[in-house]
Amino acid sequence: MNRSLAASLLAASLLTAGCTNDFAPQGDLLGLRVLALVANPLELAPGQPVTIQPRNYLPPGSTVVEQRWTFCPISAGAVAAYACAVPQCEVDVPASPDGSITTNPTTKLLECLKVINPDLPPGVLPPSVPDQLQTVFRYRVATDDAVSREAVLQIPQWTRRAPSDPNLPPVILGVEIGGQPARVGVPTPPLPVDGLLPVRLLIDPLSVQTYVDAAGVTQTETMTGYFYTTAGTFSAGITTGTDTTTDLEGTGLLPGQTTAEVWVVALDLRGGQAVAGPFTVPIGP
Amino acid sequence: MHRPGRTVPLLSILWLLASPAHAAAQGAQVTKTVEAPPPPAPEPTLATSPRLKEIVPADVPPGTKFPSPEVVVVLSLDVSAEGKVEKASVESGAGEPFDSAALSAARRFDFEPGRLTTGEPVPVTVTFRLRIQEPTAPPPAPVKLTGYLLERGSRLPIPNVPVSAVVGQEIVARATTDGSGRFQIEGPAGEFRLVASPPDRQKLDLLVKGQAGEIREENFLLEGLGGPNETVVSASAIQREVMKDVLTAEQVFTVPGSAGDTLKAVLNLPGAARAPFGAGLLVLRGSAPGDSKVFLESQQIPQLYHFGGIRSTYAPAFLQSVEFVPGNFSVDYGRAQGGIIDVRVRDPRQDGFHGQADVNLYDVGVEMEGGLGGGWSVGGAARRSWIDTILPIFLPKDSNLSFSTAPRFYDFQFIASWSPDASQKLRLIFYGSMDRLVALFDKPMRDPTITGQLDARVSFYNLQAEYSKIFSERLRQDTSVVIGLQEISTQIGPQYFFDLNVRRLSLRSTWAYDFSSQWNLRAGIDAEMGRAAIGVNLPNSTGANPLPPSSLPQIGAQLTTMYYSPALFAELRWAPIPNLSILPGVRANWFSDINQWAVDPRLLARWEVVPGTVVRGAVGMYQQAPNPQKTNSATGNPWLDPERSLQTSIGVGQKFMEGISLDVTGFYKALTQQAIPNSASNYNPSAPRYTSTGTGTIYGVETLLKVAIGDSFAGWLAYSFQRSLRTDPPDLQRPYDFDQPNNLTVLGTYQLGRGWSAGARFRLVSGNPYTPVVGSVFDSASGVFVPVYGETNSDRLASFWALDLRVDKVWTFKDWTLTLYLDTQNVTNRKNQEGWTYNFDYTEKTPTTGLPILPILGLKGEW
Repeated sequence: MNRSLAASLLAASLLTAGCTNDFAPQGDLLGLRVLALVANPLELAPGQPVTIQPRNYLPPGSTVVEQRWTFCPISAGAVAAYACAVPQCEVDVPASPDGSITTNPTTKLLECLKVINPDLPPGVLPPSVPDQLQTVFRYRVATDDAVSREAVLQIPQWTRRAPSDPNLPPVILGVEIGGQPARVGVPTPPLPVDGLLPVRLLIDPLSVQTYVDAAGVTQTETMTGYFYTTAGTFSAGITTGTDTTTDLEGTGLLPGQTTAEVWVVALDLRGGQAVAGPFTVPIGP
Repeated sequence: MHRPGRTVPLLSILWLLASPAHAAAQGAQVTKTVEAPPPPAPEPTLATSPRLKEIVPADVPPGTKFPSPEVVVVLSLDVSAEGKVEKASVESGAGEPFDSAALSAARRFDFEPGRLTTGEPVPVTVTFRLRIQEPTAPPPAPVKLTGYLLERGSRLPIPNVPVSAVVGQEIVARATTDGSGRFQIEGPAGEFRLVASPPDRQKLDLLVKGQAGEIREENFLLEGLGGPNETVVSASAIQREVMKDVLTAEQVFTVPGSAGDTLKAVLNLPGAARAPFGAGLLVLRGSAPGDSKVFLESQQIPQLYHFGGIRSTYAPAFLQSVEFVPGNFSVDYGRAQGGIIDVRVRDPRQDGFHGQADVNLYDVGVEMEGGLGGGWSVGGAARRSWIDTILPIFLPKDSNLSFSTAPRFYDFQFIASWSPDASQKLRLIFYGSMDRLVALFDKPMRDPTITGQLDARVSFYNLQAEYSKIFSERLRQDTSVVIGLQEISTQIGPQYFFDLNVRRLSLRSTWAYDFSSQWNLRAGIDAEMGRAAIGVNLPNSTGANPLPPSSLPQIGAQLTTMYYSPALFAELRWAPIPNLSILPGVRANWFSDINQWAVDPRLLARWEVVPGTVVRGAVGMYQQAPNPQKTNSATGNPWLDPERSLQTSIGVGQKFMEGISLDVTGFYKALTQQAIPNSASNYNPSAPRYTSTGTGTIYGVETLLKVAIGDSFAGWLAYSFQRSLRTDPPDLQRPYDFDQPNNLTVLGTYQLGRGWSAGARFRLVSGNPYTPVVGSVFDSASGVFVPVYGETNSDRLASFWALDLRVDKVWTFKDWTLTLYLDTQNVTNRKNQEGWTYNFDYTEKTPTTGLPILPILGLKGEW
């Protein structure tokens, strides 16, 4: 069976655990970053449109000069960096001024099938098309300082029926910083220099779903929290669970930094995403 | 002359003449007695003088001092008509005791009487000159020596060793030790040298002083000189491979840089690629690790290493040798399109009870063995790792990782052998291995799915029964059966797991018949069957490059399957001329995983052109079923073809002088029907996950120069040039992951004397190819960046080189030895690059370096 893979995972885990390096962690926001692509809905019934809203971190002084979306009805998956399995079917999707898009993937799928087989009657889905396809939306954002980022979101497209138990996004009940509920625009308790400030993420347990994977095995969603900051660093930039806490460490602060902006992103690792923030954290003495 | 039964020296009598007749004719003087003749009748005269029939030596008392080397006594003898001496008197004496001795001897003389011309015997008086010579001293009785040649410390018998007694430059007696090391030899009284030159051991050259007739019994304890002085030797009487090297157990233990590991030692031979991080990956002649197999007495070992490469699961306690065949192996072996390694196991010792204990940085092991009589011998060994004790010391204090059960392993071997006579042997081998690890990741690693508990249990147990019998000088057979259990249980975080339970039955029986000195046939069966229960839920990566697990779809399966893989093989050996052997063979193998037969014809020829020069060539087909992951209906494609390798090789071996030889082998392998991922399955669930469309080309030259200078130095130089290329359509040809064009290993061990030895190993190897990361894309669903790879294996790491040193000191006591060793890997602490470590979004990278300087200190006692 997959012994080599299991062994590789094991070895990689151990090796990585023992390794240290000087790379900045993912949670340190040092430049333009795509934090999430929030879609609604997360699974598409035939003919159902979708809206996707990008959530970016834009460093002070930078201006977005380009936001570009493409859509492909058949993703080649992570192995191919989510390239379009049928390149001629990858099409641009115009974005609104805030960067979001709304489009109907079913229409674009049929257009793609027509490209592949011009003889196909309009609107007809050949039997060879699977019941579910992984579509992929690719988002590219660039700023005036020539920095760009690229992000993708795969969205399952049901081709013949609506999903019976569609995926729903995680629901963030709240974020507590320094023991107090955090609100956007309201300063939180300060982050002590060289000290710690606890940051707690509360996800609604009722938003945790079970699902049947492609192999027919029933799985439970793993709620995951990503923590981002513009100053200091998180002791754990990633947590799992519906009630998790990590510490914002007041280390590595740059001269003149008086506040830190903190974002928290909740994922169900199936495409469901929720974003909280930015929260303003004063940097204290 | 020597007269048996006398305790004192006897006198030698030299007669005046050589024979009694001559003595009578020339030494005797005749006195004629004349009477008045009757007048008319003619008077008869003496026609013949008396002739002495038998010499009777004159005995003088022991210790008689001779005035000269020879004395002469002149006697007057009256010889009767019957030939008897009736009277003897001394005419001219030499004094006593010579005169009396002469008279005494003369009275016992027996003559042919003198005769007249009528033929009538008559009495005659003769004068006889008796010479008595001073006797030379007889050789003193020899010293009878019964000795035993034993290895010092282990007291292991040293059989079949010629032993000589030498005086000056002359060998005066010879003997040979028997199976118990015993010999008997008779040396001259006084002094002589006892000389023996057993292989692998200290020479015996001892001055023996003994009195005449002395009977002595002594043990002679000789130091073992260690394996490297043998360098690499060929083992089998009939060479069935173009290149086959054998390392003895002693060599395995002392190869510098291998820390005494069973399998890692042979990876210093040409044809074996260097594995990163010192792991024991088996990459032989450019084949994938899974394409080569390791056997224990021709039965496959299910798990080679503890924890992915730290130590071999089969400890060297009962190791006899390790056979290494990187390609073109015989039809006895199959289900592998790469090479093979066969671990040979020795029997426990019959001569008393012995044991050993070994403690080093990795592990501690003990071993006991002994004979029970009646042809039985038993032994057992067990080993446990120290890693769980040592690893926490090296973990950073702020590490994300903590252990509730630190990584540890056990392994064991129990052997019982019964050999009632030289024609048959029954042996039971029970061996196994257990690895255990429970770790806790306090927070997720860079990937959110790698978090929580990591629990890994890996174990196997094999019971192997072997029976061999020689029916006659022509017919013999070897049969072995294995019942095995293998269990793997791995849980990584809350999502991923892999469980495997395999119950295995394996049968191998080989029969050989010698029709004549020119024709020999070997045939046999090699069957494997078993039941495998599999439970899996893992990221499904079909690509060649690593990806974040959370970015991959999971693949899960729970299934139980039976598998069968019977094989029949036969090989003919034809020797049309004495120095030429041609070995055609064929192997037919059924693979139930893919429901297909594979028939592999193979041919080998070996010709000793002139003494010391051997040319060998081989061509053959080697097929194997793709690994179960690829053929399983849940995770792969059961309609795949067997993976195929057409192997050809040609080599020449040349012995230049005693201890120096060179082997050069060129090879070419054409890989076809290789199972490769089908990219269409990434978006089309109905597409097969794998197809049999992969191909490959591997070629190269291997060189092995072996040097042994007396008993003081031994080592080898191994150099391989090879290219290993793959083509996964529709992609273009690319280097394989372990394509190492240049691979040089030089190692040697020098015996410094007084139990000290020092060895070194130097390796210079091309860096492995790798696939560069050319960008990344943020997967918003999992929150991780997914690397964008460039052309597969289009870049190459810097060359690897490392120097390893080993020092051994052996203290030899009467009944046991103690060895202290320090095996230091990478003594220069060179930071060899094994890969790249990237930051979270793959915009920065830093070299991942291999093992730093790693001293392995160990202590080993044997008794």
